[in-house]
Amino acid sequence: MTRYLRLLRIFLVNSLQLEMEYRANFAMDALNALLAFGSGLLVLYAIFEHAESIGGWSFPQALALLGVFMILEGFIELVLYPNLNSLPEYIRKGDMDFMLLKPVSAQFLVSFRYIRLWKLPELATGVALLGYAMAALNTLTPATVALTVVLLVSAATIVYAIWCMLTTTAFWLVKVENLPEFFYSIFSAGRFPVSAFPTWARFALTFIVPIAFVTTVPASAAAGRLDGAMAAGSLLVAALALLLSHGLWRLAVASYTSASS
Amino acid sequence: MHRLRLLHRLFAVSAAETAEYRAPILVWVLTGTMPLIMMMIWMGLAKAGPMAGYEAEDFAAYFLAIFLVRQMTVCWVHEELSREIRLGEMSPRLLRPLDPYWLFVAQHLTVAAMHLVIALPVAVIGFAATGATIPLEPANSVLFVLAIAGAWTIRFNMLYGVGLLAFWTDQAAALGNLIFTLYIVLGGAVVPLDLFPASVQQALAFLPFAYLLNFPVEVLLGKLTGPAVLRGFVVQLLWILLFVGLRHLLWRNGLKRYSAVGA
Repeated sequence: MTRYLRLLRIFLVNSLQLEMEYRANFAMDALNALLAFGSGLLVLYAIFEHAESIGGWSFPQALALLGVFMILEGFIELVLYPNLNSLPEYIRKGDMDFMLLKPVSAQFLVSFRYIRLWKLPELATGVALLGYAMAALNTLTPATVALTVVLLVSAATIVYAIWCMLTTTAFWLVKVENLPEFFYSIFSAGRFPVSAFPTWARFALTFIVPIAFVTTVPASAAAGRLDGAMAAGSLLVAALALLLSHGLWRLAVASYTSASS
Repeated sequence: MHRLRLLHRLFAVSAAETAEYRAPILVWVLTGTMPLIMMMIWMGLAKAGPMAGYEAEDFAAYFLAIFLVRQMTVCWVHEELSREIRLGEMSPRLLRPLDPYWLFVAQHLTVAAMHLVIALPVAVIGFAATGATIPLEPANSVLFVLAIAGAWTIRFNMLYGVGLLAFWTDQAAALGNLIFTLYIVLGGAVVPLDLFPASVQQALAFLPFAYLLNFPVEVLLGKLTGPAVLRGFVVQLLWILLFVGLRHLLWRNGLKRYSAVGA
């Protein structure tokens, strides 16, 4: 465990060195974060100009949800995009061989080797927005904050596991490398509380593609309207998804035959 | 005659290429579900009563049409261009006796056709499930095809220009992402534009995005009066002239700066 933490620190330092090489990216990514924030806000304003609430959520509660969505989106850009998305290429070109030869978990290596630190502005904007919304809702107590953080970590774990499973299919479906993009498009449903969707979609977003646990549940905790069963459910889904992703990974690596052989 | 034969070959080649990538294209169509998500959200909001004149079925028709327009005007040319310029892969294209522009045009049109084939059944199911209808009159349909052609030409030339910026900066692809966000939100794929405050709507009339999504959809749904349709087409034409001109300018000056990796 400590070895993996030490590795993670080395990866971070190395990523920082890499990012300093491309400092111009920072300006662009900060601008992108600002735009994501502005457009999210514009959409909420347009909705609340014509409605009192969305799926039973008030404006400040919806702001908290937007904050959570931006945090998770930031996490995807920061960690998932630069790592897991390269997996299909590793497999196609045979670079996967080198990953498997290293004396650490190849899944860990493929998942966390590069951290794109310039994507931090979006995550930071999300944190600030969430904090602002919680202050407006009077829920900024240590207990709520702690619960929200736990559920955010759980949400990130769920997103990671799903993303990892979708990219792992590249071991068999070499040509289809855009499956995570499909998940990403459904993830955008997480901008809105699941209660705003029709019953069948609410079911699908809870049990089939568990977006409800990714954004609605942490935001509910932040807004002080969480039901305990959903919080427990989030942790359960995260553990299950993580186990499943690891199982699928091992199955995939076992059937890997390298590119040239 | 020579031109026609060339065009025929171009499309034949890109159709063969497209057929090779059936599975990824299916996934790309499915990634365009954002308008369908927004459809459900707005229909849910409209249950309490019409919003700014929109009943639930009106939202359904609007967003299903947006979904189709997005599939018909799918464009990723800036990503390919900027990558090829950065990595020096542009060189083989320059050896051919034809502006690479036309190769990309053929590629994008065949892929768009494939997108439409997959997306149409999805939209039909959407219309059946929501009870939404489109007033399909001959005049609307013809004007809609024209508006789509205009929207496609603006978007393609705009993003082509963005891709060509890779001759000068490695931020071209990032700029493309930025424009995509603006296109989605300010084009009307998330909120029907007439639901924005009046001041925002006025500002949007001076940007190209509304003419890429909202305008063709309103033409199809028969929401615009004669003068408004005419004005829309004139503005589309102006944006086409601007972006085609920019594209030529960037291409001519960019080529002078281009030196392939290793050359």
